[in-house]
Amino acid sequence: MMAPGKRNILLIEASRCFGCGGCEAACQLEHDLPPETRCIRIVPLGPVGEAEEMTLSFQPVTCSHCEFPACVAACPTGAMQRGSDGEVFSDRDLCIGCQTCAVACPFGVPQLNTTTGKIAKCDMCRSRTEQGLTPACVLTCPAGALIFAPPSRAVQEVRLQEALKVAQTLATEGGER
Amino acid sequence: MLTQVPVKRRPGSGKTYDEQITACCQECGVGCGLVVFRQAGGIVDLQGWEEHPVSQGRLCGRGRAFLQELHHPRRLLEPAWRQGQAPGPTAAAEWQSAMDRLAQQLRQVREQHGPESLVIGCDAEGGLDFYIGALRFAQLWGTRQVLAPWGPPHDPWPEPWNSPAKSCQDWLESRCLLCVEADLADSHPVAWRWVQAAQQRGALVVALDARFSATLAKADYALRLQPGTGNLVGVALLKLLMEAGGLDAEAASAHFGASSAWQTSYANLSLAACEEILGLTEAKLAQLARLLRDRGPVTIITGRCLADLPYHQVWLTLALAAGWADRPGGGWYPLDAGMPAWHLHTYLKEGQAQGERRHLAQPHWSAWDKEASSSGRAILCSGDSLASQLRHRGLADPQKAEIIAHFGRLPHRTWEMAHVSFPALHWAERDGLLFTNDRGVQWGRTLVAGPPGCRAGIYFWQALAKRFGWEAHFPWITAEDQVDWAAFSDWLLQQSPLTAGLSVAQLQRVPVAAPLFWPAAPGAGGASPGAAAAVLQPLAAPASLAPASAAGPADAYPLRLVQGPRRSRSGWSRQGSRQLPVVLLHPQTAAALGIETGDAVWVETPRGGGDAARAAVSRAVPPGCAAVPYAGSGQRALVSKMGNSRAAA
Repeated sequence: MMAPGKRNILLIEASRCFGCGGCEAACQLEHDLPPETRCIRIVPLGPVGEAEEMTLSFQPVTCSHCEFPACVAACPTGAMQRGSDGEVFSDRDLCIGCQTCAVACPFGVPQLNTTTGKIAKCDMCRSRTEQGLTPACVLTCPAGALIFAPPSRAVQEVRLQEALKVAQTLATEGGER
Repeated sequence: MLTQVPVKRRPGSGKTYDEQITACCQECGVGCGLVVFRQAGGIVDLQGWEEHPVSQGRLCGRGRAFLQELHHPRRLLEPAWRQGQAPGPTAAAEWQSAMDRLAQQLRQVREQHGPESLVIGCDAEGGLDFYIGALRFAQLWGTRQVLAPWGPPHDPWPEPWNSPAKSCQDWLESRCLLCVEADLADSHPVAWRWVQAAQQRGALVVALDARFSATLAKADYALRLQPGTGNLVGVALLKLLMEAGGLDAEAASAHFGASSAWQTSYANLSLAACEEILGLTEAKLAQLARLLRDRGPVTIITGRCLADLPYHQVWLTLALAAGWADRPGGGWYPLDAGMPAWHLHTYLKEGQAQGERRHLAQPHWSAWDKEASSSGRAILCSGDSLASQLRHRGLADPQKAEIIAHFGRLPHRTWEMAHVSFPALHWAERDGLLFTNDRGVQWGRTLVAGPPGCRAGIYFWQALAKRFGWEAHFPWITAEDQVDWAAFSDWLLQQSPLTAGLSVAQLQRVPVAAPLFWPAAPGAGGASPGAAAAVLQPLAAPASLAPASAAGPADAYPLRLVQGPRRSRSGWSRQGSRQLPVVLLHPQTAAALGIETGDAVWVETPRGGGDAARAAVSRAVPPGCAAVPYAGSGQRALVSKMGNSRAAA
């Protein structure tokens, strides 16, 4: 369910991810984070199965920017907030690094930035999006697994690409290439 | 008509900057385009360059994370000598005095043990200029032992190799991409996106590897091999493709001449033991051969580890004989082979009397004299090449060395073993040449000024050579103690007939998005328009399928090494804690060895080499194998938990 007036969402199409870590590095550089603090991280799933049934996939994981974020409700100083675009972010000036938000979050998203002593989490690159720029992780992803667009446009992107894949395969089998 | 308009990307920097410049990433051979945002001479932001034809604005983790290394708190900033028993050289010294002392010790080693007692290790951290300087110094010194990732392959590259240079974009024309022991998704992610793009256009992606890699996971058709047998699979495929009528007789005779002796050798090859040796049944290989025949043109992408094994040229023979190389979307793309063979020894005569000429060809490391190299008393190495390459392969023993000199940027394990250390510039802090996988060559300009105490690799060798009276062979250092990069690069381009037609002035004029390619001059070993293709010697089939690299007793070294993932980002955290390389073990193997994830282990190879590593249990590795990031594929090894005796292992 989307918040009314929500302009853009970050859609993760995990089937395209191949685990290069470009998004992690881009995020760290953009937000000046130490290497062990990752606001977006890639979780390898597998390998599981045996022999020809073996599979390995990659799941980029970041903040879900919940509709009713527990971290915002739990923050004692009001540092954790929800922005106009639905993005959940932590105001560095207000954050005291108590990590109550990290405890409250059911997904363990907020992390302590050991360099600054403040909470670090994905804010959907507010400083960039306010200037009309694409978030750093989306811009760098070589796989095109991250899509930043209005909700209907992002879904359309994935659906069209899947449809094209089917069309190309059929055309190839029919000798039309 | 179904069309897709991608979501618009809005690049740019949200930070304050004075200027933005375009450049080329030099972390690997893909050559992605960068936009560097600078303020007051420092880099404040880095983005992919949208107009670059290969990367189109995308960057991998390594292409972004190099900035962290530039400002690393533990970066080495001045020369230092070892002090007492503490690991690593920590007593700061001047460049000149440290060099004087190093030269003195080297002179003593040479007098006592001869010139062959010097072993040199190079890696990407030292840079191409360190390797070129090392080759020249080795010629003057009289040693053949220079190890580098750009070193000669096991079988020399075919000369003249006139297969056309095709870039990643050509893969879109392909109907099948065959990746053999090439984990592009891990090691060259931006190139892998072209594989994915081809896949979306209907190309079939076939991947063969011993380890279940990210590339295998994303392939349409994945086959697991025995470690170190990738080239032998190529030999078997060529035979089966020939039997299935998949070769192009016209193309074969155009490239290889009228002789059909090579075809007879494949016809006579027996595949009876292929399941045992390759891990694939003949029926499965035949099925793959028919698939390749029906899906041509095929682009064959092979990993660098295959270049260190015999029969590497079978892939060129296959691509030419099947006629794939002559069509768009087909050919052979050997990863990390984007550099011409330098003929430095030929030009050593400059400024020397006739009688002093030397001609020492650098052999492949597997042909090094084990006794001479492992008893090397002096080791000069860049980056982490001693710990991860020389020692691991048994090519140098730090315990026996009287002097170990390190040239690098970070206090690696090699630095900990060194007696003296010299700080190196990063590629972003100096000019130089960049050679890409698709035979492009570009001028890499300085992006940011380096720390004042750090120097380039060629400076290191010039400073050392000066102590032996050989400075005339390193004429690229100016009176102001700076490297004349244009002169050095121009000289280097002349050292191969394949690049002799290029010059730095030319390279500086072309935009980053449009590199020049080699062979650069008509008739310089490459295919020239309108000229008849040179006749190549095809690789004849071996007498039998037998892996060449399984040296060592199986009982003492029960495991086989495979190429592990090379997590492309630096293992250095900003706090400076060093991470050991990771060795992957199958759960059964780990249980038999009493090893669990996180254990510190010792990886030992029959040549007497060894390295410390951190174990991780993973099903990606087949039972009986160990995956390390810098493996000699197929080598035998023993992995034992630290603290356990060898007998227990």
